[in-house]
Amino acid sequence: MTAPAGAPVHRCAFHTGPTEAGVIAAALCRRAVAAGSPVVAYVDDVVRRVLAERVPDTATVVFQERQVLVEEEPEALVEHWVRQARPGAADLVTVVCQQPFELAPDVERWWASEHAMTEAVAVQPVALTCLIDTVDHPAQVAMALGTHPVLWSESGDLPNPDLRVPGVLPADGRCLAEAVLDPQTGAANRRWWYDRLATAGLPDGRRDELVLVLHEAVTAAATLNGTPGGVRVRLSVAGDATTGIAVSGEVLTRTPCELLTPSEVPSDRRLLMLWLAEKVSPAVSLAVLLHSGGSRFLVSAQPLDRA
Amino acid sequence: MSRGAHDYVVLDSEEAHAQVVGDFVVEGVRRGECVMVAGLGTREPRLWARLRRAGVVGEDWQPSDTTVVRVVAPDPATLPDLVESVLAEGYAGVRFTGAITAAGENPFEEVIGRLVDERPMTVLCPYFRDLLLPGQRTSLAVCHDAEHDASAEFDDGVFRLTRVGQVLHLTGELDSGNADALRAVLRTTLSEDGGPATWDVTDLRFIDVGAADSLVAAAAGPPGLTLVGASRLTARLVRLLAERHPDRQVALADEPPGETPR
Repeated sequence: MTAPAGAPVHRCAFHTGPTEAGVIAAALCRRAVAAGSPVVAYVDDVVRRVLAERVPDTATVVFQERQVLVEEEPEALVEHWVRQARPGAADLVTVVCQQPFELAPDVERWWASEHAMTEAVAVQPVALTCLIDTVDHPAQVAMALGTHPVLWSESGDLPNPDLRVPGVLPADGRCLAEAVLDPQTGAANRRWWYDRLATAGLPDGRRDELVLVLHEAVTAAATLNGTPGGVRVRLSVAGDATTGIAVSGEVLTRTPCELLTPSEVPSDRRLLMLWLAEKVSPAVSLAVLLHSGGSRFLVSAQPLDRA
Repeated sequence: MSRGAHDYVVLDSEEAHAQVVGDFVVEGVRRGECVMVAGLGTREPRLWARLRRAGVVGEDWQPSDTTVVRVVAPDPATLPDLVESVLAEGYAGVRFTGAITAAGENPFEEVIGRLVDERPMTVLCPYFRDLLLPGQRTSLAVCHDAEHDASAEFDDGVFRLTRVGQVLHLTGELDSGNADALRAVLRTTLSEDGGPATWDVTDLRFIDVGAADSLVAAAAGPPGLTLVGASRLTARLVRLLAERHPDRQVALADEPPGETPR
């Protein structure tokens, strides 16, 4: 799925350190400037200096403060970028971002924002590249892998095998049930999930898949917590029988854990069974998010026509 | 169970009820009989799911007054007329079962005793052991043809393991936290002679990743393991785990080896 030239794209470019970020940004800018297309850059001083050294003419590059990326909604940002195009020209606006994670350290916020950005960019002439520093922001790597449809490489764009279907976050639906489950009573816990998913109207087959992943999430959370005690869970539901039912189950841990990606076996064996459970459940997506000093397993099932 | 018999069974768990009564109903449908059930209450959805998994009814099937499996009122006085009505529809015979959930005498027994002598009727009376009164076992033996064997290799009310010939039947739910159940499966499997092990998992409603991984790792070594009736989710899980153990062989089948497809 290499994006054709001129097609909208939301890509992620991983790098180590600001100098490499500058080299990547310069390559993208040179290509845009050569095509006469506008460029908008949200970059730090180091990257800006590298751009000045490597791009022949940065006069057409619009530099903006990175904090704007936190202050504005994705849709508003895309509208702003589209306005940089020349009137009547079929320009593809190139946008280069260094996300200011330090200004909004909430991974969940970035997760939702990046998915919204993908949807907004898809229908506008924008080529957006997010520069992610794997050294300075290791906690953001899984989030970036889960949210960008395309990965940048020197030889061209690559499809991202770790892209996740967006989860149904509580804001999208209503909370159906909350509980603290005893991990020692697996059968009763599964009955709890089954009954509530049945109440939500989820068909049997998808219910089975969700319960398998949720069961493994509760087991993993209990193992990670390392102490006897309950595991806090919440079930949210959106939609109805007409529009399709989407559900998300959240399982909270008291200790943080690594952020899972579909293509990499987790290094923490305590997460292996959970990771494998998602692999055999095609209707279910799993995301691991940081949450109040611990982690949150978000297990989601979209309506079939959106899955 | 032979046609025309009036047997009873003493059950130790809901899993045992689901398996024994489920088998009785499925057998009746396959023999072209009409099956009437009474007193199941909340057990009904599980039995309907069991019939769907066995393939004797469709995915969207629900019982009614005209279907091959019917729910009847727990009223012995209405049973004779219901039996006559079913036979008038042309069924080869009638089966009757359900769940006996009250202690003491079962009011159906007297009516059934007369009906099975006169009509082509097969009956299984399922009693729960913890509801039997002192001495009742003796009276059950007197008023029935035989006691149906419901013994199991393992049954903790959540997971049940039985053997039919060389085939192990895994039913209920099995998770990695149930070490006793996992040990029972392995102990029973590894005690077989030489040939590939065969597990019927048609009625295994849940197995978690850890349990499946343990069983595949331990039981699927040469000469291999055949799983019969695995759900799509269980089949995907087992295939994935078998790849993690390249020296293990797991075959998936709809029927036990050597049996004719139903």
